[in-house]
Amino acid sequence: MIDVLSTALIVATLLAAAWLTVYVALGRWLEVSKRDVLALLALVVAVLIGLIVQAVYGVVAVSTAGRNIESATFVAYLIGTPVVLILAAYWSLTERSRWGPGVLLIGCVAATVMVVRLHQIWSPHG
Amino acid sequence: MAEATTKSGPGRALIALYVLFAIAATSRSAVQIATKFSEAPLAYVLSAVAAVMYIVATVGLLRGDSVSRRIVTVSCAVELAGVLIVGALSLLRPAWFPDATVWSEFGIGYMFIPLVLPVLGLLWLRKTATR
Repeated sequence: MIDVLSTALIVATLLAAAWLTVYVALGRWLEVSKRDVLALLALVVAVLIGLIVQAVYGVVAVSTAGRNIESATFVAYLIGTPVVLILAAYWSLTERSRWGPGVLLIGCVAATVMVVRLHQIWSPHG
Repeated sequence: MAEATTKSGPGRALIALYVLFAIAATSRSAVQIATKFSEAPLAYVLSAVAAVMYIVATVGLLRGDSVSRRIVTVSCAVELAGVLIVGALSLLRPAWFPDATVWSEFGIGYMFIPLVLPVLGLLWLRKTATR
């Protein structure tokens, strides 16, 4: 597993989550015409690209490895994480209240948890 | 004319949580039932029941019409009872649960969200009830 990638993903999703928490607290919605919102969305897109790379790498790794790990669960998490984040992002953009970023915050926290879980499944001995 | 709808404002975040848990519980119980059902049949069936409740709540809250609202009220009430009962049983009779379910120990494995979710659901329905 690319440890560097999963660490970077965890850091990035936590950063996005913290950023979104500020929007929720301030009651700002995700106004795409604003530069700071665009920057945040760029971060989310970067995370998504990372997740897709991780998914491709992970599926290849689990099908060629002689490791005894729960493949079905592993692949489900691999594919589920970007799916969850995409759904959250899509849904967060159409709500013009703090609950827009609120939904994306939930998606980012979920993504963090799932990447951590993926890491645990792959390297149970740390 | 603007009506109080269940899927905007905070309701959107609530539905997002329900969708997340619907996906998580469904895939988890599907994998468990398909690969190792005999290890903990009660636990896995309960996780599947939880998954169904989450799906019902998600669809009901998205639809938001009066029939759906009533369905969600019942399902949230059952869900809350389920978390409390399964949570208590998993602590009092751990032998019945060789593997964890979503509702084990009141959802501790999911940061107690399974416990809070149905309460939020019921509160949200109350808040968006039209008189």
